[in-house]
Amino acid sequence: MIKSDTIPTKVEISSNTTLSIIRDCFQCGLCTSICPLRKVSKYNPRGIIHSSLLGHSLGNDDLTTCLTCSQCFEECPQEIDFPAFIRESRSKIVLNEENFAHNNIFNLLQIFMAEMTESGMKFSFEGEINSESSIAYFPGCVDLFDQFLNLKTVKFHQIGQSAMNLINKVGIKPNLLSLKCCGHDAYWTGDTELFEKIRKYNEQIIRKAGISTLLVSCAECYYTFEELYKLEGIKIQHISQFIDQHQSKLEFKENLTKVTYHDPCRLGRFMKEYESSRNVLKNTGASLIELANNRKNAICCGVSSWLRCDDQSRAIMLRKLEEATQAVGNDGNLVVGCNKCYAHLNCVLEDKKPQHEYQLKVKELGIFVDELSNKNN
Amino acid sequence: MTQADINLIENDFKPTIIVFACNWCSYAGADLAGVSRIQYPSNVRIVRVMCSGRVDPAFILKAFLKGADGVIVAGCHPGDCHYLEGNLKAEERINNTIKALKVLGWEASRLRLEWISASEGKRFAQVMAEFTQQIKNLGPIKIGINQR
Repeated sequence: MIKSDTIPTKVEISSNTTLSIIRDCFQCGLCTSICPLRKVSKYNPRGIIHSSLLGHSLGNDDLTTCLTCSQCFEECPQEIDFPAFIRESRSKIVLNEENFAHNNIFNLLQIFMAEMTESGMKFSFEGEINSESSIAYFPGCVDLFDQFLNLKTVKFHQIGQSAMNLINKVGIKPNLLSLKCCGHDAYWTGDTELFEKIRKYNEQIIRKAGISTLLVSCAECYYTFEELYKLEGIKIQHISQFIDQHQSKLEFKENLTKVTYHDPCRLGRFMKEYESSRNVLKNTGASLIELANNRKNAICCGVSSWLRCDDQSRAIMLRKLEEATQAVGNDGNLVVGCNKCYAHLNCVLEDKKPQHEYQLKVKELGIFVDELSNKNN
Repeated sequence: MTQADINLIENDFKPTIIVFACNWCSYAGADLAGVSRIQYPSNVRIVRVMCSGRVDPAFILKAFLKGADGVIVAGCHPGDCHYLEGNLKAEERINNTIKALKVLGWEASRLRLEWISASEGKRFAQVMAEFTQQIKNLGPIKIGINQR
């Protein structure tokens, strides 16, 4: 259900579990200096930890602004997991609805899926499907993005379609699982109860399907199924790992495409999967040029869990596009391995708010590889 | 047991229907139905909005999550919009929401878009009666069905 209004909107950091995450901090300030938000605003992770340790309460703004991109955790000498601290704190308050982008629609859709629908999402893709296959594919919330984001140049359905094409091209007929949303956003906005409901349903469906490998397109799905569901005996594969594994069965057109790769935080810093996407891109024959900040230093795409798409987020997105343009120029491609990054970056590219001149194309990994590969294997 | 009691048991379900009516046409239509003393089901609750284009998909989902059994978005006929093309925007949004509900595997017939002008008091009553009957046939929505 929608949370009741009786839960406080400020949080006192007093519980031991929350406090134990940040107790070792010695205030060196590396987190603040590395924070992508700090470069465009006055957001201060060190200050937040400091005031929490002193017993001050945290407000909505402190908690919803953080992108949970984990760049601070990567640098921290004391290994303080700031994103985990933010998540724990979020779970103790009601996040203000105004802090959610798109009128809270994606959060409501998640609640809707958990509370109202008996089945998972229905997908329809062209291609060969075998409902008894040991490999299953789950595209994520792509069809819902199409209905509510209203981007003219981008069809999110194509993410699933391209992945299906690629899976068929390497000679596999996958099972198409009708799961609910993976629950990543519910977990990271602190709604553990909602996440558990979704997790229970999905786990049941995955077990019932009798699969050994679950293939996902989205970095967030990959992280959630692998780290949070902890499904024993079922291998979760991101589309980049899958293509990397079956590279020998794909043939590519000769091309002079210039491409650069954006490491999604869930795939890179969270799951430490940096190389397979790069292997895939190199193998397509396109020339891969690295961004100035790559691998564990990659800058976040600017929004997470549909929280706060505001001026700061847009400034971060523009920095990303600037970085990519410096690497590949205006006729190049920026490839991402995450449905969300794909949505956010394309949105700022198409919306032209704030005004900008970037012309490069942002593409999802599966779409990019599918476009370059030969039709008939 | 009186007849009224039997009626209550047999026909217990009184659907809650939310109508988002635009200020310039449909709300005036509802008004006309009222002043003309045309009867329509009392399950209908009208929310006045300045334009049907104001109705965000989030409002609709929230209505369902808070227990509405059906939602109607009512606006001016195409071409008659007080804000020129607000109702066309509403049409696009509602169609998208219906598509999304279908992706989620839910009965999209609980959501409807209607064009009702200020002079169509009778039609307003008809639409409400018909929609209420349709929702009665579908039965109440189930909230929290995945709680185990």
